[in-house]
Amino acid sequence: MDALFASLTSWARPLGLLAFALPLVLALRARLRRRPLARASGTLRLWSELAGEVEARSRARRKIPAHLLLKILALAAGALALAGPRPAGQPERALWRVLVDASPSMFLPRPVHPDAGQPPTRLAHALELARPFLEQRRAAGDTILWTRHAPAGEESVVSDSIPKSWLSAPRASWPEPVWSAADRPGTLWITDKRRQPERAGLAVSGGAAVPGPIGVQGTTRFDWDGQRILALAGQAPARELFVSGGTALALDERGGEGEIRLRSFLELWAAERGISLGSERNARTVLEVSLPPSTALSTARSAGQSLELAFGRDAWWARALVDPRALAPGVGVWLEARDSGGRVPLVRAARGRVELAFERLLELRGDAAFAVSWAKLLDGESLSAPGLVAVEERAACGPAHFAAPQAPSSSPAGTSNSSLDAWLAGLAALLYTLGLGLGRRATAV
Amino acid sequence: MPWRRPSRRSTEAPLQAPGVVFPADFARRLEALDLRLIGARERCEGAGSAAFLGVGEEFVGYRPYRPGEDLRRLDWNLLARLDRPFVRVMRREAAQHWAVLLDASASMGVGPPGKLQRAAEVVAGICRVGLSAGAEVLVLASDPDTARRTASLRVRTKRDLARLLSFLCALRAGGASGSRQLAEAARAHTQVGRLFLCGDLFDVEPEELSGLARRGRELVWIQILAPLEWDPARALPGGEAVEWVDPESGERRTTALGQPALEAYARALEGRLAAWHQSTARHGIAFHSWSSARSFEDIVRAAFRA
Repeated sequence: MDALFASLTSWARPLGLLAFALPLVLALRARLRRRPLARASGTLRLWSELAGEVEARSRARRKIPAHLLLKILALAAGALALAGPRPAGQPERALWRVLVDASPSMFLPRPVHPDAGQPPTRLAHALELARPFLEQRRAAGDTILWTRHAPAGEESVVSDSIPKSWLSAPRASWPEPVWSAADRPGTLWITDKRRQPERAGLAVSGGAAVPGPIGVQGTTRFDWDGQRILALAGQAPARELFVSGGTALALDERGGEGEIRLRSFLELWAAERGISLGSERNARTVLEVSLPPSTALSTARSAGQSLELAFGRDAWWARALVDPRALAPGVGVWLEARDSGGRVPLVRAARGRVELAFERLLELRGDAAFAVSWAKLLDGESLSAPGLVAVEERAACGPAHFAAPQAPSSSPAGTSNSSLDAWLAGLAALLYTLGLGLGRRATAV
Repeated sequence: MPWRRPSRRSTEAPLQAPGVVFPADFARRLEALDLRLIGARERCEGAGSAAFLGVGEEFVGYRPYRPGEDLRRLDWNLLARLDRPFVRVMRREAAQHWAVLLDASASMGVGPPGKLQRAAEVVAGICRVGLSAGAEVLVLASDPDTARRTASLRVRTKRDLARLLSFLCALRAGGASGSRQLAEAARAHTQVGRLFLCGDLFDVEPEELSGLARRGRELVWIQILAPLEWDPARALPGGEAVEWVDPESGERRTTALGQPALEAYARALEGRLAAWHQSTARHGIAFHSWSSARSFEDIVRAAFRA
């Protein structure tokens, strides 16, 4: 026991050591002279006839019953768990989680000084407010975990400073984090609007309204001037559709009798939206559509691997030659078909990119429904034009504010420490239960 | 049965189960036991068993002949008259008067389960079986509060069973030397053909009861001990010191329940039971020793060798 105490340089809750008094008192009390248990018996004469009867009073003083011993050990383990032993050489380190709001409003300009050159963004301003606090935490040896909520899932990085790539707006518009789920001790919110967390901290940039483009329709751009929405014909920003793979054909060229080339449909959709066709992916690209390479299907067909499948959704139906290996199964599948081998993904969609496993339709029923269905898909997955930010994102969001978060409950390495406390508490509960059971058995006769 | 935590500070050792409380389903269990023993009795009819009804034979009627039976049992007159085979059914003559002695001295309050509780259940079971066999049963219980130090009740029909249960419920373990007092009181009832004694039999020696033997009378001694008397090694944790208190004499002995003491006790108990078996066997008396943890049904069935 002395060696154990000597190896420990710290206790999470030193006052918990006072709890050792309880098992000590119980042990001392148990060692004192106890009156033996009195039991009525009709066979006393047998006990009287026994030879070698031992004077029991002296033994009563020395022996602690097993059930009481278990309870004493349980209380000792509980006292240890309460005190929270920490192994030597491992200082108490905390994990601080910084949740970064990556919604479009965070990347709007937020001037710090009127005469500043390139005004920083609201994000940069909020980070500046949080900097002293985070530097203090780093100096204490704590760990900083940077987190943001991407559409595909949470991204986290352990770093002394925010990853540089996070300082630029994501190409797609990300929603705000689910704040209520992140209201925990040890969490600092980096955002532009004031909120009311109970346990998390806040670094709020605030900021005045930032008028600017809010949307496009065809070639018309809509701007917000702070009070009204203005329609500016012919001033929509350049947007491009990039179609990769497939066979390049003229717009009205058809392959076989009744065949419909997807590329043709895509080009019609883009023209309707005022989107031009791009020859490569660049900053103006709002949607990339990937078709199977022109040689892939013929190669697969000659190898007997391409399938002619029937499929449909949204009140249209079609047949097509499909490369079953073009898309792997997984999340984001928008259209799939079934064959003898199971499900075959045909269309996978994500923000800014749509992948297809077929290039042309051999037969189509429900032309209008097909057009509506695919237009909805393409519109939904298209990225916003560069510079467009929704009006609610551009609105003013009050003054700046900073509030430190509550301290976290344990350190990252202290997940092992908290589990040590938990093991000790579990051991205490087990020992006490055993002692209780033995004690009841002793008296329930 | 509720138990009370024995007091460590008091010099008293309160009796764990001094009274009798019949469970709610006791009447149903009595009936079930009786039916089972009736079935066993019918199987023994004419087969030479004296288990249920004592000595003597009585013609009770006819039943159809079953293939394979001894043809000497056929009633040839009936066969000639009816052209169908029947056999005569003989019933061993019931002993018409039974007596059941119940020791309710203070030591019978030891438990749990209480010895008096179990003994009272056994007495009720024996009475029920006796009534079904057509016997009249006298129940004698030791009672220190009466002048004769015994209380009695006579049951003649099954309608008297309710009175019997009330009588037994009113008993409370007390007094000393219950078996001796009962033996003394039973000597006056000379017409009893079958005599049962239920108690712990630690306040009497087997020879003291041999005076109850009569020609044509069957004697059955049923000894009931509490689990902590039957097997203290299992009932109490080892290593604990225990102050044993005789509830009748007040005598005390303190013993540490170490392994040697427990083994010595087991040998001593075994020796005493062996002595009882030998003595009762010599006099043709049936002797059974049970823990009160066993059910009354088991004890009654063994008493009638069913």
